[in-house]
Amino acid sequence: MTLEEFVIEIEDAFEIQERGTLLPDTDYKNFEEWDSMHALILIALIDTEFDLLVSGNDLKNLVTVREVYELIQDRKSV
Amino acid sequence: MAIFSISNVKFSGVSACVPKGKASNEDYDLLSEKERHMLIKTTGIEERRVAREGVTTSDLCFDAAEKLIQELQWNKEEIELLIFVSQSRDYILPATAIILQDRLGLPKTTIAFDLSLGCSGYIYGLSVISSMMSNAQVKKALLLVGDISSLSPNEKDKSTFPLFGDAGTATALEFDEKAAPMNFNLQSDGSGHKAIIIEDGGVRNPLNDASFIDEEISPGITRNKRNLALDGLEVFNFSLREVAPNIRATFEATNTTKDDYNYFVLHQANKLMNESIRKKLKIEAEKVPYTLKEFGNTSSASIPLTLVKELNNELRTKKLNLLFSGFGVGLSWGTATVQTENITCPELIEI
Repeated sequence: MTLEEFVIEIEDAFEIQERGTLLPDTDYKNFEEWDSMHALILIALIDTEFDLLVSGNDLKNLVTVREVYELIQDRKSV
Repeated sequence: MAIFSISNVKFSGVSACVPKGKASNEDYDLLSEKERHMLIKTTGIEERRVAREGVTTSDLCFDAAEKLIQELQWNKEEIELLIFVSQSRDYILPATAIILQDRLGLPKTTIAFDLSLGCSGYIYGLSVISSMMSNAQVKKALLLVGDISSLSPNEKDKSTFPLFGDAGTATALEFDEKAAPMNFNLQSDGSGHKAIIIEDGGVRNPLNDASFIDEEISPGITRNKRNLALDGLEVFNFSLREVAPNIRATFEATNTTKDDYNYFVLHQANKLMNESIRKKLKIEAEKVPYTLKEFGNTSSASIPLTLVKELNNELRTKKLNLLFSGFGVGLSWGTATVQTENITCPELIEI
């Protein structure tokens, strides 16, 4: 999955109506009412799509979707 | 690894009792409309049953047990073992199972004791009761399982308050040399004991004046030390990490695959979590029943409640291979595989 596809998956999972609201370099925790539900959704999405389990702590330190995507690529290439 | 098999115990019946009182998460006004929508979508929980003040877990289990005994036409004198699995006992002491022995009119020859477990409690309870039955050739036994969970969360804590519902259940087991073996795979990780915890009121932190002072932990999460504290992300991660491998190991040990089971009844914690586990194991959606929508997370009662609510007809009329999986507080988790055939399963009782 490319970074662009990952962004779209997240938009769908978060029920963001308008495509392009979320960008690879958007601070995804700030664009709307971010709460722990969004974290659960993101963790589940990564787990299902990439078969990779990231923790709440992993996400805490990441700001943009690009950073999350890079973390996934790093972990998967190990 | 603790994978084992128990023979000679038949799963004869199951019943469940919930309070009539409903609470709807649509009415939970600590959350904005959008937050409520996300909460309901993610957890799958729209409504929960909430017991009136003074109604205990043992009251719900009592009604479930009476109905089950009646439908099975059991002679109470023959019930030799009663185990009560709960984290909401009637008193600090004595054990609630002993009070239930008397209240249900069981003989003084009955063995009765409590087990203190939550989400994994049904699996552990089944393993303990069937082990004792198999070893001691106990003819008839009752496993009473459930919780009043609605008392513990703080109304101002959005991370716990909308999740939990109350329920009590009864499962009837009989010694039967023709019964198919039950299989169990039980695990524990106490390093995660703080992920789901009530801090004060035990011996480690006895109740004190400060126990009741509400504290804002973060926006939308205000609670005191008597309330349930839940680290949702931690528990979510734990479940995604541990449950599927535990079930896979059970397949391996029992020489079965997912296709050998008619239904997978998972602890009802969170829809997104359970669906992720289901997808990992590539199990068909129709094989994984849910009661989250109407009842929320009912702790140890969630598996038997789901059996009664969702599989009632199937249980009464068919031979079924079932796999149960419970996971959560402890952290504690496990799988049980059980074969049933035309068992007794009264309709859900509401009081």
